[in-house]
Amino acid sequence: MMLNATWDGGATWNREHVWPNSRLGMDRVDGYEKNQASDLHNLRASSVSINSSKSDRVFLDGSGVADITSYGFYPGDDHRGDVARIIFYMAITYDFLELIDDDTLLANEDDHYTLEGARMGKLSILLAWHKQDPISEFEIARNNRIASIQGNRNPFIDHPEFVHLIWENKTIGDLLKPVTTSYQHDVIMYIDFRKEHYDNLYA
Amino acid sequence: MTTYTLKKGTYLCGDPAMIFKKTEEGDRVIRQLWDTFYLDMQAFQHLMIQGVDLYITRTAEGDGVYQGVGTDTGTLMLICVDDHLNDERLNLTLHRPGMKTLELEDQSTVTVNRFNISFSNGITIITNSDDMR
Repeated sequence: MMLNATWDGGATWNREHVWPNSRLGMDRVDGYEKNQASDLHNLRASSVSINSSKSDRVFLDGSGVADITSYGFYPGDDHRGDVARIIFYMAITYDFLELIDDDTLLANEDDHYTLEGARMGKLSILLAWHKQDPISEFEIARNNRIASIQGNRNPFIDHPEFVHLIWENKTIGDLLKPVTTSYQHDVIMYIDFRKEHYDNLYA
Repeated sequence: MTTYTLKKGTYLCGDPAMIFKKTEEGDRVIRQLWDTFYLDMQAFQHLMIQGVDLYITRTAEGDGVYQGVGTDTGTLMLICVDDHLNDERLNLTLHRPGMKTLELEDQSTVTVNRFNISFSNGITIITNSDDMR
């Protein structure tokens, strides 16, 4: 699909809120304000029809390409890890945003656009996607670009192991135990690399 | 600029995602809505989708909250609540945050110009920030 590289007023592509706009706890937005609705880390370019299909849906499991699944949305095999790390970033950057697993609460839409309705999920699925779809070169480049404009980074792209420390109650010691999966191996190699980097830096 | 005449009644204006329930039946309607709407997404359209009579336009700037009316789909729709009472595919709860409930006392009109919505009773929803200045 060929799209304009610059913003064309939504004619061919949308600025999609990965953590949906209606679940950000805001009932009004001033277009010139800097807030959770304008955070560049949470905005992705999207075809207009995909944006409409995703709408306010939470993320639920699926396979293959992006599509509606039950009351949620599956972003596609190649995007699920990116989505997970964006949602993790939003949850730690804005402390009033809640990341949960409860299907009943997630399916409730009557408190959208309120602080009480500022919730997203499904946490257990996002944690799985983080492991199944590791960080790509595209995500790293995007993180660098946003940091140069907005001045902050998505730490879960720089430090994927933080996800396990925050949401899976792991310790650094847990992460350094002998490994059984390639993902864990990647994480440990990453920690070792950083340790070596800092050791050299401060030697 | 496109104008439609609306009969007297109670209307909901908001994101289709908040009006169609996320059930198998609701999803069947909304899938067809998107297939139909995106054939001519620049137009303000009056559509009948599987028995649901609705008006729909895209917004000028995609997702957002426009004078208290929000959208995650980049579109806003208008539906006469009185015509769809007891339709299990729809959530027509009035006065929800992020949506606008309109009581039209008489026959009225709704116009969309540059993706801004205006009703003949004076209510407007501006989605094009160039027109806010």
